[in-house]
Amino acid sequence: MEYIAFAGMAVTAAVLALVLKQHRTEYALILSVSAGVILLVFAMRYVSQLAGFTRSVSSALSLPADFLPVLFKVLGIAYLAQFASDACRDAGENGLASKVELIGKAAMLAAALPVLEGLFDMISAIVS
Amino acid sequence: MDVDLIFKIAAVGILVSVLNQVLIRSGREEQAMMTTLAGLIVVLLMIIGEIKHLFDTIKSVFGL
Repeated sequence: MEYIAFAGMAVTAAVLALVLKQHRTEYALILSVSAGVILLVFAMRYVSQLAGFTRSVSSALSLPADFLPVLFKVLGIAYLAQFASDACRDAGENGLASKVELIGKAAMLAAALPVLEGLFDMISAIVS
Repeated sequence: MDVDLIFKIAAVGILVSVLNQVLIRSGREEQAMMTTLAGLIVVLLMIIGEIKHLFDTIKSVFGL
């Protein structure tokens, strides 16, 4: 039943934002941002269930333990950067949004550096 | 569930809009601007806790 509530909430927020946009643009922006925050908080509830499941599967299969936290970190940075850039784009600041996305991409690459180093170590061990 | 927040923000927005119209019609532009500013600050204070909650949740879920 919760999913129906989310759908209704999103549509209601869209209609209210449309009404507010005619008179006060800034309130429409704040309304859409806060609706996005609430929806993301509820999305995180499901994502955390999935993350727990992935962790348990990975530990059951005894995969290397140092790669999964990197994966989750990159996923978290992606969510945060997407949220911030969407908020900037809603406010009409496309340049700011693309800069936030650039920072997110760079941070994701930097967070994935240990995995890349492991890959290069493996390649050099095979070659030599 | 925090759906009330959406309705609160919409209500503040409509209220400020109406107050703004009334104050401008009665020739009090400064007070109209102050009302707009105060409404904006109230709404921002309302959502800032939610944004902190979202960031904390993302931090705890993804181990940032």
